[in-house]
Parts: sequence; structure tokens; C-alpha cells
Amino acid sequence: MSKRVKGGKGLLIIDNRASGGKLIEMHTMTCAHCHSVVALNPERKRSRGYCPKCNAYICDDRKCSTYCAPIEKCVELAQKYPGLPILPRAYDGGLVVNPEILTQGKPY
Amino acid sequence: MAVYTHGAVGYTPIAHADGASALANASYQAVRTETTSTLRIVELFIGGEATASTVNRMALRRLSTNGATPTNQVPAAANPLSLASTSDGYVAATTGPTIATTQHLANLALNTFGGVIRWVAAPNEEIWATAGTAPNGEMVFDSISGTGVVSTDIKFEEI
Repeated sequence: MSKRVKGGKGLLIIDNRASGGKLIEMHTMTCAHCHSVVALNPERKRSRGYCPKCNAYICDDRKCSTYCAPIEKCVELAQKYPGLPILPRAYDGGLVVNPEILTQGKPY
Repeated sequence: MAVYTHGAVGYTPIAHADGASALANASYQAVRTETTSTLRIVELFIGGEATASTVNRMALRRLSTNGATPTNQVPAAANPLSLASTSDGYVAATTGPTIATTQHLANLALNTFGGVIRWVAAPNEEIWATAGTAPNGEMVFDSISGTGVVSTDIKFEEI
């Protein structure tokens, strides 16, 4: 397994001790499809999303498990079609552009 | 790949909802690529400097319209042997940027009365921007709610 799935986790440190709060350290992962950062709840029992094509973690947003839109491919497309909203994602994780851009190169 | 840091020090953020336009100068921190550059954010840092308890919800978001004629600030290279970065940071522009009404890339909440947040991306899980043009080329780090004074740092790798 790649480091993106096993062992490679981001780190989030929130230190509110100066104002009477707590020090919180959490692992994070970045969804391979919508690119949003997700703080991992250590109490979670359900398995996390996984894309076998990307061999990477994906978040719980519905559209992220609907189709594969790997960031590396989206960056290439954003360079090919500058100005098209290829990197941003809708609030449900879905592509803002025509999803066929990923499979057939149709941006409209 | 070379790593660079851009910092915005001691500013009072304005609570910007998604879609907020023409952001006021010194109320946000933005990073911008050029048509020939690509960056990926490897680290975010927020240091709270408020003098009383104030909770800020800070977010990293993409832009639907880039800032017009931004006052570019040259990011500092982590390694003195690195070339100067092609991408820039800015906190002011003749017309401020417009925040996209799309998914946030990161939401980070803290008490700015001395609170600190540091997020470090896992390898290959960085947040990308490329090609300069909106909405792919720039990102803004600012407040969704709360106006406590903060200093923020964005560390990015240029590809």
C-alpha cells in the first residue's frame, strides 16, 4: 500500500491552553478527490472511504465516492483549461465542471 | 522541490461568508500562482493575538475572482539556495478577491486569545493551486466568523 493510505497522515495541533482550553493533536487526511482536509476522529468505528483507482483515502462526501477525480489529473486539466473551475468542488464534493472532462476530455 | 513561506502578521480578519467580494485589504492572506507555476500548500499556521477571548473560525478557500493588481509579497525560501519563487503571497490589492461558493479546503477554529493552530499535510496530500487563473490559481486564508487578531503563515512547495 502506498504511503497515502497507510501511515502517511497529516497532523493538526490546536493549542488553546493559553485561554483555558486544551491542547488537541489529531491526525488529518486530505481527500484524494475533493482535496478537503479531514480531521480524523479517533473514536470513529466505521471504515473510511477508499478509492482503489487512486489508492488513496476519500472523504464521506457523497460525490467523492461516486466517481474518481484524482487531484493530479485535475491539476493537469486545470493547466490545460485555465479558467474552468476544475479544482474547486461543490459543497457535496462534486465536480463543478462536466464530469465527462475526466473520462472523455469534454469540458462542456 | 523548494519550500517557501508567506506570512501575514497581526491583522484583524473580517468575517467573510462564501461569495464575499472585494475583500478589504489586510483582512485576509492569499497565495497566488502565475500561469507558469504550480504550488501545493504543505503547512498552515495561525497564531492568535487577541487581548480577550475571541473564537475565530478560519478557512482556506478558493477564489472565484482573483484580486486585481495584488501587492505581491515575495515568499521566503526555506532553503537559502532555492531560487526565488514564481508564486507570491498578498494581503492587499486594488480590488480584493472574491471567495468562491464552493467547498472549503480546510476549516480551523481557535480561541485567538493566545491560541495556536498548526496543520501539516501528509506527504502527497497537499492542497494544490495552479496556472494563475481563477478559480484554480489562488487561495485565500481568512475568517468565516470571529474577528480576533491573528498572524497566519502559509508554507508551500513550488512545483
